[in-house]
Amino acid sequence: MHTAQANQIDNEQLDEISPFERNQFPQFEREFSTASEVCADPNPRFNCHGMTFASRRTGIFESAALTQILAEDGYEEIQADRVKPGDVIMYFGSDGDYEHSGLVVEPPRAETLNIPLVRSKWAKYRELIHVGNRCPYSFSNVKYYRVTK
Amino acid sequence: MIEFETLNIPAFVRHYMLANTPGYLYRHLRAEPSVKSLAEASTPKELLAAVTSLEVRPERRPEDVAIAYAMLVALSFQNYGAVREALTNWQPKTLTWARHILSIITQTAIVTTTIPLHVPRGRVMADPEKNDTPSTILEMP
Repeated sequence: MHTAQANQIDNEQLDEISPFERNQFPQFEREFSTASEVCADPNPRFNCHGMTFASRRTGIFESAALTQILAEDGYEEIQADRVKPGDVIMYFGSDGDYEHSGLVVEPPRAETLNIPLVRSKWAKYRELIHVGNRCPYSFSNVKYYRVTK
Repeated sequence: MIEFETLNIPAFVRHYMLANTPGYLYRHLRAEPSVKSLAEASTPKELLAAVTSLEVRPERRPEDVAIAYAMLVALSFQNYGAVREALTNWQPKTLTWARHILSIITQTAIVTTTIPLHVPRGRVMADPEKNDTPSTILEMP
């Protein structure tokens, strides 16, 4: 897989969800079902960044690869009040790690307390539509991106 | 001595399964109290030996992987000099994110160096030329 500037992107396809892992899923469903809508069953092949940036073909796990994608694919940060459906939302960890990403379904607006509706994949677990702050990832530092170049 | 029954294995597995990046796994495992307890109850060599034994299990389960990562993260609470020494002859065998996690530990390590100081015996005196303002003049015996 390559960026728009034809440079290789580190990626990895996983191929297994073990029975033990599958047994954890009901716990996630109990915890998050009230604020999410299921889009697809668990799939180990891609993670959130693979859904957002690699068309669900593979997983992207390296922060360096995500920095590379944002730069080389022409993404630009968009202020929250200018976000449109289809823009990328990126969740950052406290150390700047690209903790999670997804696609905006409904932009953040004052009437929703500036919280968007997001479609994202949770590691090996399901692809879901969820309220932006109702997921296992920190909503305290999110940024929005769009390809503009 | 590593006591597996004290570990919060369901929490380890949850963090492992929801991790999109090694950084997420590191941060969330490090916030687990039982990982800190693990660090306090074991040496770096014991932790790395336990990681290796989990890695080479023929019928390795996902919880083994999650526990192995928790053990690596436990190293971040230990003396970095001792960790570095234990890592000298240790290589991960199958854990995909082991090098990432060790790299985070190395980048965030606070190196503690002890320098022995030998100060001669004496006492602090007032300096008459500075209006008896207390100063650090040593009166040698």
